Amino acid sequence: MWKKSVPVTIAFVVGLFMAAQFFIPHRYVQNVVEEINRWTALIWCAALALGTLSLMKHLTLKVQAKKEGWGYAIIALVSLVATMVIGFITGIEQGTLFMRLYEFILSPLEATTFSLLAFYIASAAFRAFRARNAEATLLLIAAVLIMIGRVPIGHAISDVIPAVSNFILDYPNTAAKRGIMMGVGLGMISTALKIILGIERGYLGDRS
Amino acid sequence: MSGEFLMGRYLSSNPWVWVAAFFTIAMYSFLYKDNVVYKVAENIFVGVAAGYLVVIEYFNIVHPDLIVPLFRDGKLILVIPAILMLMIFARLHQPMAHLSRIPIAFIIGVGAGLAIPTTIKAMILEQIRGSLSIQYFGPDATVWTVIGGVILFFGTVCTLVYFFFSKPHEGAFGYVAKVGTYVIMIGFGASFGYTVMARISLLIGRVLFLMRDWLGVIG
Amino acid sequence: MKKLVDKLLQLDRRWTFVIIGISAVLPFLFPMGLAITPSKEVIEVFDHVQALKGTGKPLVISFDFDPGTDAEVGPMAEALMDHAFYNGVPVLGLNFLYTGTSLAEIRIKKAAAKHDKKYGEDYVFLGFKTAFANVMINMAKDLRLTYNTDYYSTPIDKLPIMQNIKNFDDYGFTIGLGGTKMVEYWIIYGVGPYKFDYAIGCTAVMASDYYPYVQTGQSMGLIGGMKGAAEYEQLLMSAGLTDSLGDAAKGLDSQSLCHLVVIGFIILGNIAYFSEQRRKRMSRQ
Repeated sequence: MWKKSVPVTIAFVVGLFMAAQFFIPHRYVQNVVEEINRWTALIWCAALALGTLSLMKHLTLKVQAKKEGWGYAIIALVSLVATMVIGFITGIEQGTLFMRLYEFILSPLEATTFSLLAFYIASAAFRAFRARNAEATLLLIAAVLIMIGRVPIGHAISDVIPAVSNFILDYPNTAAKRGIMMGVGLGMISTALKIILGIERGYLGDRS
Repeated sequence: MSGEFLMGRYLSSNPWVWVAAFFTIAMYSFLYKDNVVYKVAENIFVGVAAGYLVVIEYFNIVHPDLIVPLFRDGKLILVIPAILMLMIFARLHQPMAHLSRIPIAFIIGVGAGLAIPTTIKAMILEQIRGSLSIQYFGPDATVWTVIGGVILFFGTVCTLVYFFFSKPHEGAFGYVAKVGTYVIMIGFGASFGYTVMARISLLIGRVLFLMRDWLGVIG
Repeated sequence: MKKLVDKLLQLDRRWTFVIIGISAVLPFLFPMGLAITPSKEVIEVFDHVQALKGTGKPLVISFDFDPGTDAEVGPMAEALMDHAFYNGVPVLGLNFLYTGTSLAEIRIKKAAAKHDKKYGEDYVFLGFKTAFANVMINMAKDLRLTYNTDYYSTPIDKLPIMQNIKNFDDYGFTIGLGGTKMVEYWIIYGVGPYKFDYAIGCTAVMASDYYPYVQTGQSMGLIGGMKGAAEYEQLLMSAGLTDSLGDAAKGLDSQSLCHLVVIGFIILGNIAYFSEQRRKRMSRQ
């Protein structure tokens, strides 16, 4: 019983306090807020590091059980441990081996992974983007106008094209995104309220 | 042409650039088909990224904001967040995993509390103010700004009506929701166009690296 | 015609990869030299940074992008720092995305070296912090509540540039650069409660989503994607602050050709699709 009620109570008290503190400029309240802010940053730090530890646990179990792909798990594990050891020994300043790992291994790997999407979007443009109905046609027309209007070739073809694309962005696009933004905002507020009031308990790992 | 002439004049003479180029091409090899080289590069990526996080967190946050104030400056109140941080790691050990709920509830509660007034202001009130703005109808107005201002206001209303699912989209309400659908489609079209631009830009970034920094064929 | 349509519909997608790859490479070998016209959103950011000249107040840049978005946002950071350094405006760097912390350091150091700027006097990098919203609240009162030291563990009170910087009132202009929601959180948790001058520099994926903030003035301008970065580079050159364009502008010819290719794919794909649909309808009749 206490395993759920204590965390829910903490969320309620802390949540209510942090919402109210915007309207209470009193020094004692603000001193508490400053301390809570520091603690939150540290706890978030641990939460992020938990991800790395979970990954290590998962990879280790995979290697121990010799599941499919366990050889690759060894590579990931060795890379992980080596990066941490090198980082703690050499430090994080420019010119260190740790920074070279970042600049010439992590950075190109991440950049290239994301750049693969360019190929897939080109393939999807050919195979999947169909003007099946009025809505899809409208979407594709707007997309084509933006694609041409936002690059120099649009200006080179005609000044009307970038003017049209700017109009689309400034008015109908802003209207749509604003409506969506307000909906998302209302959703965020209601979810935050549900968390504070203990109605939403997904963060506890509670499936009910 | 001799290797010496090529290296430095065209090809990069920095071995680390060659390492970066190797990993770039290893990832691109997936476009042909899944292969061992790609899988090795992918797993190195996962390992290095995870290890990098821990090191950066330690030097940027844990050391200056916890270890130094607690052990050097004697700020004993930091024992509390230190304990809460350790409780998070209890999640890895099933019998004690429930202990991690306390620090998680703390940070989730803080986030939820901060979100309410700030979101109301930035994403609701300011947006309503923007929709009711008369800047498009002022002394500097043109035909297009007036039309745009009308589209902005009614487009926002129609979009909000579309997302109101508590009432069936029938009759006049349905017509307004339909207009909202069209406005949303234009918005999504704009997003799609920009998304294509973004993805192509990322590819161009890698092309620039391979052709300039590695092969040296462009200035 | 039927055979052509069938071939198109069954085309191995690797051919589309090859075509887009060639389209990306060719303009670097055969530049088109298309002119870049800055948009009003980028001009607005440029004007705000230009207005910092002579005020002594810093340009605060939140480097919230990582290698995955560096191709788009990196050139923006470089152009902004060039602009600040040319005008003798100090730069204060922050970072809330751990995958980009070292990248931020690399970018700042590179820009500073280009202009012979001294660390601590002309620029400072404060490093990475988590819990963004909480950091915002503490920064609104005093930066030192969150940042005791900079990225290199130097106490920030030992840095000359930090002597006159306490909170948001002392920031000249703040720009959030990123490919994540962080640029929006600056508005929600920063600009909303504490009101300071701020602009967004983001990837093209997110740029269209932030037009509402530009319209309300919560973001004083918007630099969107590689095109936005190229526009900023063009503005720097037009103002006589630089004599050449940067990486973003170099990539725009490639961008133009690739866009035409993608549009071509969409049209071709739809022609093949509708031809196939028509054929099926006729065969049913």
